[in-house]
Amino acid sequence: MRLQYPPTVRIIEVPCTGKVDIIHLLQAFEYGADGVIVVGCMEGDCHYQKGNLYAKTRVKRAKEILDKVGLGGERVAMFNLSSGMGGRFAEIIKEMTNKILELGPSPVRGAAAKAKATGAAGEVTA
Amino acid sequence: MTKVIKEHQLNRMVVAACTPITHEPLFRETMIDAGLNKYLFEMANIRNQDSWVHMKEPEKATEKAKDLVRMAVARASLLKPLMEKPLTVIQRAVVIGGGVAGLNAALNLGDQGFETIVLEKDDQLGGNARNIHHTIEGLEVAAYLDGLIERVKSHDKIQVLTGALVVGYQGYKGNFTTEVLVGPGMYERKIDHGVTVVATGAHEYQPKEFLYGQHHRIMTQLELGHFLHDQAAEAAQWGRVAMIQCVGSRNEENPNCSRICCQGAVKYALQLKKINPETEVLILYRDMRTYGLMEDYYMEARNQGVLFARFDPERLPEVMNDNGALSITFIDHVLERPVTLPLDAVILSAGAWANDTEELASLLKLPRNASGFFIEAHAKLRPVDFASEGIFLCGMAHSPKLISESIAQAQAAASRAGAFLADTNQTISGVTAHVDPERCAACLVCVRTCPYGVPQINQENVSEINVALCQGCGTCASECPAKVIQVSHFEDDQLSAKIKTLF
Ligand SMILES: Cc1cc2nc3c(=O)[nH]c(=O)nc-3n(C[C@H](O)[C@H](O)[C@H](O)COP(=O)(O)OP(=O)(O)OC[C@H]3O[C@@H](n4cnc5c(N)ncnc54)[C@H](O)[C@@H]3O)c2cc1C
Ligand code: SF4
Ligand code: SF4
Ligand code: SF4
Repeated sequence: MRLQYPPTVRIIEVPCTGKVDIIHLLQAFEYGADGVIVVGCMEGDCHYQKGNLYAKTRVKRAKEILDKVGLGGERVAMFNLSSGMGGRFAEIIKEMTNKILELGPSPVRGAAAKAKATGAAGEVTA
Repeated sequence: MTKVIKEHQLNRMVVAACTPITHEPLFRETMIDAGLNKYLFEMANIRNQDSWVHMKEPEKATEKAKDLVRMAVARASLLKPLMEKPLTVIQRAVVIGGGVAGLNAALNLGDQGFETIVLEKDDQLGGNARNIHHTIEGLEVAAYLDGLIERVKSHDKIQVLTGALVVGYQGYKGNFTTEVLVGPGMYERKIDHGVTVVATGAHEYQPKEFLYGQHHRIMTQLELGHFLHDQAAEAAQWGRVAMIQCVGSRNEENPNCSRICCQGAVKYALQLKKINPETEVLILYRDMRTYGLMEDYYMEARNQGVLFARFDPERLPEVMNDNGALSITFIDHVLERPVTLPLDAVILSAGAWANDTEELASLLKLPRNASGFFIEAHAKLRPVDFASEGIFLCGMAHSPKLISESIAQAQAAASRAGAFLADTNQTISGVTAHVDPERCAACLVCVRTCPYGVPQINQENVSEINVALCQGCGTCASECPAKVIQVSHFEDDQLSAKIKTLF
């Protein structure tokens, strides 16, 4: 489809969002990411049954922790997409990039805005 | 690549190119040819993830490409060689569902020379095709079906079990065991097999709307088909018939289009016109979806005077039954005014709803969508496979489709299943979870988390993961509170390295 989206995102493939560990979510912020997106299959459509539901609770927990430490829970988000939703993926990257630009760079790093995302392998074919 | 690896004595390889989904297997073959473990390979997808999607920002895209390559190199440096255990493949297939799809899959597998067992829960074969007399092209379904059933039953490689209920399912690709209760006696049978084809089909939705069930001339498409077959002379007396499309489809309860009911309406409209050209046929539709060459029949119906009137889902037509006299009121989309017409019959184009497979899906641990249709591994790249290897899918169990489409898909599934059985040099993927037994607290979190029920507490009182059963999804690894599970090839440090290298 070759839909265009901002070059602000770096994708890390995992077998399933069930593999997205809260440690890795927080680690990204520790090293200076301005935002993290977890992209999984549609709820109920998980290729591995329910990995995305575990990911959802972990993203929620990560939000709470980011709020507590003052980074802001909005910097992490989870989205559920199917392989046919490249258009929505591009939109999400745009929206998230704009949101991060609004929030400004992560105070951890304080450098220029550069968002980073993790995604489930093979699910996104934008 | 093989030459370069040998010349420079490389021990790892990173390719910065396109998607690993299509190309990783090829490069891994090359690794093997060059004498390297195939897991010591990593791809940076600078095409799909970069050049294609940032076409107008070449400078930033180049920066990103550098990052992607850096990430790939960081991970590659930590990759470990993995050994794959050889897989034994039991040379037998099980097909669940004895409709047109399942029967064709079985016949194809049998013809390939594989012993095949068909499990049908009903006491007879044939499924929904028993309710269809001919296709829109005019082909006789009953004759075809009888021939098909005969060929399956008399095939020396195929065994049919009717009244068969799947009650247990264990194992992994190449080595499944299905437990069935068979026949009125419910005798138990265990079948060892290497592959499974799921063909559990769908049925016509039983309408709750449009006074269905309150008048014998308010019927569904399939009921009309039987009526036209058995009582054509009576149908020839009808002066006016209305068909209502999208009944039980494209609404809140079932958001999907059932695909087959538009062609169904056109087919039966043409049949009514054939019996009596004077019969007025009115099709109330939302969108006519006579896809592909069926558009010709739609045109033919229009030429023969079948009336098509569009309705708005917010303003549904209303069927009325006045002491047995039927009529319909709908808002004509051109006149923008309600029109009321007396009728002799109302045909509800009821959608195709997936058969109840809740229990089967949970036994086989297969994903289904919200409407209960099974989901293939990948719509384009693995359209008849499930994500769990060794299990294949065809027919209406996947989505509503015509007989011809079900047959084509059954043949695709059977050829995939046959190729799997024929490949006796398979190995078990190295991407599986492993527990560090020294540090496991036997807390049972992984046991409860795993969607496939793989981890078990062993005699040493620690969690153990059977690599043959593990799907490598990693859910247990991320939940383990002691952090003592690693998924090979996606180990924590391999993922962290990608993150760290960015900053
Ligand atoms: C309302 C409607 C109208 C249609 N009209 C047309 C048409 O006009 N033209 C056309 O070409 N096609 C039509 N079709 C489609 C056609 O019926 C199918 O494509 C074709 O019959 C193949 O179906 P199948 O084998 O996939 O499933 P089915 O025919 O549904 O067979 C599935 C079989 O699996 C069995 N089963 C289910 N669950 C289990 C289980 N757990 N264990 C064991 N067995 C199980 C069922 O008992 C059934 O026998 C229509 C379908 C519907 C629903
Ligand atoms: S095929 Fe036609 S009648 Fe059936 S759900 Fe789709 S649009 Fe509605
Ligand atoms: S979750 Fe971790 S600690 Fe708990 S039993 Fe499983 S492997 Fe052991
Ligand atoms: S990786 Fe997935 S399939 Fe394997 S044991 Fe863990 S949760 Fe189960």
